[in-house]
Amino acid sequence: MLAVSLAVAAAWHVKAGPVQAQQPGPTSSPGEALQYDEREAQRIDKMLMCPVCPAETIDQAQVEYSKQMRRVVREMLAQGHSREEILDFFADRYGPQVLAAPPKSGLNLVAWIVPVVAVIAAICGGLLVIRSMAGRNNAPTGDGPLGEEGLEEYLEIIDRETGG
Amino acid sequence: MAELGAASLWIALALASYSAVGSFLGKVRGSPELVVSARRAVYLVALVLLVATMSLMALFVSQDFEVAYVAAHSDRAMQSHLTWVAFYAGNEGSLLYIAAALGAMSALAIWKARDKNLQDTLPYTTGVLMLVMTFFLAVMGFMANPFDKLPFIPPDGEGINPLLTHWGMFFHPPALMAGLIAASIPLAFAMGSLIGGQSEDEWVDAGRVWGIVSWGLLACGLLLGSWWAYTILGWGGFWFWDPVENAALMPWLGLTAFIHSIMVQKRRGMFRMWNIVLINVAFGLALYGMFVNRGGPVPSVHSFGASTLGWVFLLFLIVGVLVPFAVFFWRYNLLKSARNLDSMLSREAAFLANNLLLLGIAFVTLWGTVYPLIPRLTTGEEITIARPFYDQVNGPLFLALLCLMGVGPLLPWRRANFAAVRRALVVPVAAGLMLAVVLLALGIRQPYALTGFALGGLVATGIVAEWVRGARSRHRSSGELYPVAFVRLIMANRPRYGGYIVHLAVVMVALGVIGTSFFNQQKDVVLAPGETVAVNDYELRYLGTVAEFKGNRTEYLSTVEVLRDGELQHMLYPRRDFYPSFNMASTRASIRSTPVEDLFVAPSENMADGSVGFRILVNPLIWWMWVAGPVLILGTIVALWPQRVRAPVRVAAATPAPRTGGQLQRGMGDTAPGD
Repeated sequence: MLAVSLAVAAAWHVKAGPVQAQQPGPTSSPGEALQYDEREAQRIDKMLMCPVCPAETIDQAQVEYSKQMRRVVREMLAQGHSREEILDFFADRYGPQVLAAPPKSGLNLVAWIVPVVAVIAAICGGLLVIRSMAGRNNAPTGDGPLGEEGLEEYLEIIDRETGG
Repeated sequence: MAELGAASLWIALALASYSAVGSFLGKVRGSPELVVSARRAVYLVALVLLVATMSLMALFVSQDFEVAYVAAHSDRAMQSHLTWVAFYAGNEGSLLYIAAALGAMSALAIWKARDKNLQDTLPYTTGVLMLVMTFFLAVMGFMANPFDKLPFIPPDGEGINPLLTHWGMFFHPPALMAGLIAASIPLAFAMGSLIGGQSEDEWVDAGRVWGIVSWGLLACGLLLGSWWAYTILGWGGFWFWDPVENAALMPWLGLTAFIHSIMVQKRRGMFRMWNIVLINVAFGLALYGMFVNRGGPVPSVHSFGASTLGWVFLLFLIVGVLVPFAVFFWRYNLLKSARNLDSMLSREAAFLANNLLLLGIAFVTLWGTVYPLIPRLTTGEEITIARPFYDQVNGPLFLALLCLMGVGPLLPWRRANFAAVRRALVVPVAAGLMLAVVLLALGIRQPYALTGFALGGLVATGIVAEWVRGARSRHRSSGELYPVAFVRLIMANRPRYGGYIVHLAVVMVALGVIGTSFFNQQKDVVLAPGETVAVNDYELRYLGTVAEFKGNRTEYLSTVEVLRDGELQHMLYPRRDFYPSFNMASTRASIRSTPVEDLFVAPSENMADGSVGFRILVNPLIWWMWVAGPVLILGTIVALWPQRVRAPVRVAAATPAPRTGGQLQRGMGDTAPGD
């Protein structure tokens, strides 16, 4: 496990070397206090899957590997990287499956669009069905004795107030 | 004892297949004796499976490790009350539990329905149920027999999975498994009515009751599972759209749609086709749930180990979806509605919209579960779909559903006129808006949270206003005291008012979800003994940890003081148990719970020097979510409680509605209301 965490940390340092050099302030040596927004860090934790545990984000997983990843997230934030840059870094390193949801671009857009379209189509379809059924009923052959029509509202009130 | 159990399994298999064949054959050949005998076989199956269940229990209690299943899921150190959990800790025992639950519920359903107006359809219902039963028993007999013996007697068993040793586990898995299999009962009644060629609504009562049973069991299972995750997984969440959670949520959504829509058929003779489609879909989703549980293809924290059972259950899923739909298309002509919808502005229309939304959420969830397979099989790219996806896509749909839950029940059947709707909605909408304004003034800005709270206020006000109005009118007309009037009001129309109680429970769940999703505070810290940390306005001081070796585990019990404004308020004792043989730890969060917020402390790591890594959370409003459970059960029981006088209004196709008469009688108060 130590080897794994070192690998993650090493990969990060190689890649971030130049950036670090420009910033004299925070370094990434363990134990030192970093300056970053913890709430944003927690949000990012919830968007990254732990590569070694089934179906858990690094926010949930308590293995060493995910602790290391959480630390890298905080270091990158402290060095001024944005959420997108951090997510991209991990996606480059571990492949897109490390992201808890696919990016809304390219082929993966399908994942996002299909459910939205399906739900909208279902609701439009439902509205059309109701419309056509309601339309059919407005013909003079509407069901129910005619005398009921004017009473509807009162029957409903009685229903409601007596628990009918 | 193992021989008794194995023998009862084979006897049950023989009886169930006899009953399945006999029911269909007896009906087709016109032999009432065979039909009756096949029906009695159902009761026997239930009894024999009870014997099998008892045998497995006895094997666990007597620690008979020669039986492979007992050796794999218990050991000598296991406390005997955990026998119940160990029973369904693996595939074989789960299958036996499912079969036993199906047996008991089938027997009860068929016994209750035997005298009803179902002569032409009940044999087919019996046949369908026993076909499902035969499948489970055959899988157990030939592939996963819980009574199989090892070639040797091991000195000790492997022990129970430590994550299961929580008392939530006493109810969560059995409630879910029973709920999933219970979905086959309304399906069997629907299929019976279709195969039997009965065009009317006789199956509706039984279908509704067992649909609600299945729905209620799933709801309890889901809530208990969330609660278990909250207290034991140690990260402080309760739902994370795991594939197995989704697999239990989807049939619940389908059944929610069904138990609403079936009321339209019961009251108005409409939606006949739609209800069959809904119960087919719900049953299909339940089969999918069982498939995922028994070795499905998706990674999950619930993965119970790969098993060949997956293929068998996949096959069962395919057959279980195709056959009911084939029957549906075969009998399509029987299913003409007695009436059409009158208006877009009616309770029927609102129910239809609710059905579409619920199916939409189920579809999104299913889509999210299976979509990763598409790029994997086409471009070879691996992607993950987890919580952020579901939150973003399903979140707005749940809000829309909440809105409909506030408006729909206030609309009258058939057709509403705008003035009446305005009158009914004015108070709830005003209450919702006022709540939103107050929250805005208090500094809450998240649009989702604001909308959610406002809609919750709308729903709750609508329900309470209706209770108050009803109780007041009973009080005025009969002089009943208010509490009496209130109880009698609820008892007079149990399906409706039971439903309202459940709606209140749903609002409570929504409160918890919104509170924790948008307003929680989280802190991960490592504390040495004596160190303090501040979270919100709490100050926590970690005093120390005691380690205690207990047979199969080491328990690390930490003590944490909670101070507020410098005063000691509370002591918390979070615990972490380490199981060396599983190389696994289970945490017991210590939670100080109030209706306003939970303070949650869970240890994530115990260091050698006595310092401990803690996850500390402040979760607002989550208390309401757990209290919703009992409220939901109460509402379900009220909705299910049988009405003494039953005068079901049945509407044959094309005959005019007898509704006016019924309604007027009700108005005059001389008969007990129908339903």
